[in-house]
Amino acid sequence: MKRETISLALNSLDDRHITDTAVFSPERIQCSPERIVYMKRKRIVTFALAAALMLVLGISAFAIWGIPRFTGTHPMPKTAEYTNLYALPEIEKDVGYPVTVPEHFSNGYAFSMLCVDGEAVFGESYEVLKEYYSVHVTYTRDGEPDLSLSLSPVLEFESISEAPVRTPSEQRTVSGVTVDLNRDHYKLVPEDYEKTEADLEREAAGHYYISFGSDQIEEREVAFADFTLDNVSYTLMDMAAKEASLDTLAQMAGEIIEEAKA
Amino acid sequence: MTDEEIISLFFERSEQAISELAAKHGKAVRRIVRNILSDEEDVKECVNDTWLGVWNSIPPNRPDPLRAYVCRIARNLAAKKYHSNTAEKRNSQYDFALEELAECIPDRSTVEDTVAAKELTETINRFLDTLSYEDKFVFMRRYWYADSLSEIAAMAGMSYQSAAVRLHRVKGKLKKELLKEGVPV
Repeated sequence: MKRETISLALNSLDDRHITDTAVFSPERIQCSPERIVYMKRKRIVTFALAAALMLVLGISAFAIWGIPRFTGTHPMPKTAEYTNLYALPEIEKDVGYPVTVPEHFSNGYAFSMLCVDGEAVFGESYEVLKEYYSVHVTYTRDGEPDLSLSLSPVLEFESISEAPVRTPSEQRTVSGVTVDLNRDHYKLVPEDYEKTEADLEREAAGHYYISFGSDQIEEREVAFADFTLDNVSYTLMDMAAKEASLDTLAQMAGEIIEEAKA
Repeated sequence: MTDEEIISLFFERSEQAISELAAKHGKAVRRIVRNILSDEEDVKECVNDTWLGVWNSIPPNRPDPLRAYVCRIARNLAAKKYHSNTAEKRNSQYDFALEELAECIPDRSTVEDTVAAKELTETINRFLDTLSYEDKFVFMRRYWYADSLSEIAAMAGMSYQSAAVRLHRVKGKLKKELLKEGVPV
């Protein structure tokens, strides 16, 4: 069909479709299975930032031999919240993998809350391919922003995923384990924001992400430390990163690794 | 200023209506036009023609929602400019978007173009009603607003890969829908 005809047809689409999609409205999302993972993080981060982080974590969708796969929240029987770690043995039994969650770190950060969430990998027709539990922990320290630690099992799909692998800002070997360290800049902007030349240059340089949909421009530095231990993926995250954040996260990663080996 | 107040200014034939309209919906209009036309002079001309088009059509029209109405005028003008401008190189977001969509829509050159377009509009309107919100968002932003996939991914808080997979899946569904309606694909 001629491009002009297709263009003509598109021009006449109903107003409601145009209006519905003028701005992305998460509240219109029904309970579709690929709903953004870690929605519970809303407790500690704004939705917009969580959404922005998803861009980088790249865990919402991937493909294997061209076949799409999605990860998302999924109803599971053992989801729960804990305000202490007394139940850790039961939690490990429920989630089915070792959970190394220190109560205190040497830098003063202390355990505050732990959530067990249900998640799944879905196929192209939203059929459940694999169910699993993820664990999200919040650490607090007086006068400092909270840090979070997330755990999930390494999925067999991940090793053959076609999702692009990004280059970490830095990679260190801590207690014999490779830790990927990333410090990223997030710019949350209103829907009608137009990227500047500087934005485009910084995006091309990497570790700079723009997320549309916030009420006003908000900029954040976020640091991550990612590592794998006993076939479990660990992600430490500091959403108010400073110069020393990567060192701090690397040190905390080391303490988790040492505790797991003990 | 609310859309109702802006429309009232148009009915009063106050020139302030244009400046208020541009202040409230100008960025959205420029974004669509810029996605379709790559030449900045064409963009400016098309945006100005949009304001003129709105001025000439309100009254008698009293559109609700106003933004969709204004964006539609802008998109129509930009698309016409694009297709009539033979010097336009085929490298805009709009061109890529049309190219993609043409892959799943058959050539029905024997049918009168306007009739074919009307039928296609009706099919796509019905098809959009069957989609999840995220799928509809990805489809509309790509093919109506002519946004790039990376922009769509950023707006929806998806990874680029997720947006690409969704779009691929939605195009497959559209193709099936066209087949179901007896259109040879």
